[in-house]
Amino acid sequence: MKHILFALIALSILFIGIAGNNPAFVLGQDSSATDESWEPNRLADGQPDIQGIYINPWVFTIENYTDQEREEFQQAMIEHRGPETGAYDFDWLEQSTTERRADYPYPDNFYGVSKPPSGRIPWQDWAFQKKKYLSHHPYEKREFFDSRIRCLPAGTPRGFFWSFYNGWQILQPPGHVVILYEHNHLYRVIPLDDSPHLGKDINLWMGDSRGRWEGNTLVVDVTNLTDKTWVIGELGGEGIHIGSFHSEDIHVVERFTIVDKDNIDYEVTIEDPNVFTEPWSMKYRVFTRAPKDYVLFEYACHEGNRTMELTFGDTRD
Amino acid sequence: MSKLERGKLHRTSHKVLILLIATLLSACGASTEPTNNTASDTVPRTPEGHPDFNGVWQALTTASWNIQDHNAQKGVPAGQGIVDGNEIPYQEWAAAQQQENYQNRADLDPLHKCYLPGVPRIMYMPYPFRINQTSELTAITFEYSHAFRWIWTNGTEHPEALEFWMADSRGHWEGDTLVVSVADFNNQTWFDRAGNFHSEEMTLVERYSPMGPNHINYEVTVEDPKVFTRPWTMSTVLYRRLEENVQTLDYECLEFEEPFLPWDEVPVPGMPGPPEQ
Repeated sequence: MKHILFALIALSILFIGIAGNNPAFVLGQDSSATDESWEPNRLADGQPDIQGIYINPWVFTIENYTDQEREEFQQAMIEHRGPETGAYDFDWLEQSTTERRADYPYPDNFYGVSKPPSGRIPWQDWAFQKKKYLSHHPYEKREFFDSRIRCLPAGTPRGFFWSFYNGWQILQPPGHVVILYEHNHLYRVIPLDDSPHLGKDINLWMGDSRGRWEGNTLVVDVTNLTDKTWVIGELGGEGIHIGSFHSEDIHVVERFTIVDKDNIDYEVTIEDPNVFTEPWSMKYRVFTRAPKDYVLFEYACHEGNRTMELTFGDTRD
Repeated sequence: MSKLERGKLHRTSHKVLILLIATLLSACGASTEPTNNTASDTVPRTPEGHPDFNGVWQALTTASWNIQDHNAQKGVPAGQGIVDGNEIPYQEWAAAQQQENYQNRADLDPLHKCYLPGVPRIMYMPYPFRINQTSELTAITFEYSHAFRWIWTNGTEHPEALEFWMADSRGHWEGDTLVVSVADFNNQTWFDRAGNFHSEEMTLVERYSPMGPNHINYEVTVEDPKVFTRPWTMSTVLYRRLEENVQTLDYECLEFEEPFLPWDEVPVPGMPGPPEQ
């Protein structure tokens, strides 16, 4: 009896020791990696360690627009911005694409709308007409303006689009992934527990996130967004995406996959039965580690923003 | 062994077994972030042995209206000040400036324009914030205007000759106290709505000390040779938010005066809208 007891005590101490240092053991997490030869380090709570500073230095085309659509948009921009349209035409896009891709590796053909196979966002007819109007008349009314430009939050997934001059910082306190955005000091706190989403009457500009790790992929479920942001962006030549509005019922599911020690790929599925005919997905490389000694700075957006004043001539600020 | 001895051993081994099972169960259920830990006096600790401040916190003071003793005003509760000695040692010119700020506070308070509140005001505004603590960096994410602060604890120094709304913060541990040096301010933020102000030369030393698992004593010493005659100190308590599933929400200061086009409204009358529900 004594011997059995001692054996039990010894085994239990061993068990507690292992479990205390590595909850992944207790939770039975799958730790298979996409790349056989490399595994990320694990934090004390079992998460793969992706902490650090990241940038997104690439530019790519999100949708397969027809030549006619591009031409129409180009004409609308010339009408609004004069013959030198600046950052809103496709010549600029081509140049920045070539320059940037040389610096950082980017997988071939891994960008844009991946579902449906047409490579086009499946808008309902009325919604497509509204979106097209907004993109061709961007300065007509203050309420047509992009939230990001007004120094309102960019929303999700819009906040992850390329930005030559802004980065992100990921930190992982126990049981959470926290993403700090340099641009406009936005942030997302992603709990990795079973807590329920917020009630439907609360809206968050960046959405309400709940995450879980599936091996080396962080899957995040995002709900409770507002209807005041756009799904995709208009930076750097992608002005044609202006006006990609959505309703409060939008449901976003993100998959961040650790590719290697420097790169994280992103696949996001968007569902909004009020404006789209079916759920659709986008895929692109979202983060690459910033160079050593790269520093993120405070981005006090509204404090220095004169865009609205210069565009609309008002001095409300 | 006698029957009596065997009996005793049997009862003892039962007790040990029960103790063992209880220990096992509590080890499996252990989490690093306390939830309703009101029964325990133990401050949770990080793997490095420092107090673990991870979680949602909030100040319970009216200091963001006025850091000194004040009576109630319409919509604003009365409050006992958080300034040691209740005196702010302004230089003469600065005392006059503060009075002028106070008279014009409805227009001049930077919060009125939805500008960032700065430090320390963000710490005692009546909105929750989350302390996200890792070994190299503690990031505080605030509900108010989604501000955040980076408090680097990796031995790095302040950058020089820069001005930030939320300043630059570098911390280190002295025993169980997180001591944070805050510098690189601009001169745009106020300490409160009462017009108490500073210059870009201000520096702070903050001290975060645990008072049990659910309270932090927050003390901040202000030094600004351009505005004050000597350093002075404020202190208040930060309370851990203990409600189940509590999280920070949004206070998007800018959205209250901006127009928006609802998802189901068309940009031009006559355009097709969403189908009837």
